[in-house]
Amino acid sequence: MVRRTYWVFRRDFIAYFLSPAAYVTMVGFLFLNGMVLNFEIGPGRAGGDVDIALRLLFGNFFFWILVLAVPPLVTMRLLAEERRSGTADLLMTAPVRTSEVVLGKYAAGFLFTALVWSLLVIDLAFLAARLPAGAEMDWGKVAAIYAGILGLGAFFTAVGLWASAFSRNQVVAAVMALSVNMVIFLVGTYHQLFSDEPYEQLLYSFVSVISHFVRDFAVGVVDLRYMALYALGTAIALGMTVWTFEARKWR
Amino acid sequence: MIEVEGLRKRYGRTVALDGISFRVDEGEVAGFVGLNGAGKTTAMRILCGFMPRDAGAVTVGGIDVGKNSLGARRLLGYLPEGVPLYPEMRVEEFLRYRAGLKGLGGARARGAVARVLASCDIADVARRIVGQLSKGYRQRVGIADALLVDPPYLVLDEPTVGLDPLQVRRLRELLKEIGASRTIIFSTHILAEVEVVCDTVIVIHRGRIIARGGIPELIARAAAGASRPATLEEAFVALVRDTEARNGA
Repeated sequence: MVRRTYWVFRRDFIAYFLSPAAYVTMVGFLFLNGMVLNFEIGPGRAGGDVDIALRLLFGNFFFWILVLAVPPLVTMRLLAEERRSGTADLLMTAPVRTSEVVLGKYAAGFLFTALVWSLLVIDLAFLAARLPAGAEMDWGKVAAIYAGILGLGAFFTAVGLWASAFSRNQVVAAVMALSVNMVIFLVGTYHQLFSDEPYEQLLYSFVSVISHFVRDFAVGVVDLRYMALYALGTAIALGMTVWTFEARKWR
Repeated sequence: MIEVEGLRKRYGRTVALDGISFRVDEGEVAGFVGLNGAGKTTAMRILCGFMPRDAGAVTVGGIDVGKNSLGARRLLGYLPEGVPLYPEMRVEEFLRYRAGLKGLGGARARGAVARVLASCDIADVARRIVGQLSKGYRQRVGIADALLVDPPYLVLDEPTVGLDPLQVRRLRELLKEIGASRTIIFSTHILAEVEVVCDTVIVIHRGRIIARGGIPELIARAAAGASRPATLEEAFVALVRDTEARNGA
């Protein structure tokens, strides 16, 4: 099983670097973060305070756009393109299980998502270099934020793969995944609009991804309950991907 | 042996396969012929475990495709219609990937790739990108993939469509060569191919098998009807017309 999953992963991961879409995603990512660095933090809004600088870098509007949009852009072609081009026939008539295909593709998508986010280290290096004398970058907090990004990225990558199993059209798959991600994001963020009940508030607050970052990851805390929540979401989305692709691969 | 018994498949209200049954014996090369939309590709996709059936049974080498699809797929090499390949990969890289998916690793995979590159006469394009190959070469890369694990059963869906006469001749020679030691089902609507390559013919029309047998037998059977066919093509046309006439009556 591992060998076949590895071959699916290998092909899909290498394929990212053979198409312009990967480079466009990475350049767009760097461009947006560069803008944030220059216009949000650059003029001195953080006032030399590392905490404020990190909150500005990881808590701004563009950061959340990227958290929500990068996984759908990365995963949109993974299964949709197999069905559109007819290579699903080739793939699924080899002695390989649907779960092996899904896991291999998921691993490729997740690793590429992680790679895109690793580019942010360039911005962080700039930020560290521009801190006033005496101030030091808190790399522990950065690591906690990265753990959060990867945890949530793992979940959103699985959602993106599921959307890619639904449609032959990559754009439809991306829009669908982005919509699901937006719903997950908004339900937690605007939970006070849905209910005044304290226990429901508590539940919404637990699933609110923005508060995971503001309350915990941004202050250097990696709460394993949130990581378990992302892992559960990932497992459910991958299970749904196997089922959806199995049911729709030939349609 | 490949055995299909009472196979049914519907797409919504459209009946694609209406209880078809046929058998291809060991070492036989069978032409699966029919007009466009007759149900050839649907039957082949079910045979290879890609698509579920609504009813009926399919066995490949004694393995029930419905119950043990992975086991059946290990015995099969499949060339899908239109030869879908990954255009961004190099030929050798593609075959290495397919060998890995089919469970071959290390030296065995390298050996299998070298063998099919030679037997399908594509060693000269091994380093070329698939998307830049001519249709004839792509077809041969697809057949090389089907032959990678040296499977005893081959299912080839329209392997000669879109090829020029020279490419068709080369592919025919290749099919004759590989057919000497394998059981092959070869779908086509080009009857000249069947006459040259196949031992037996299965004729499908509107999701039903309307004839099965050796080529001379089929021609003789159709000659007993109203028309007097001399070629397989004429026999096929006569069979289809007779079936249509019976259905219309």
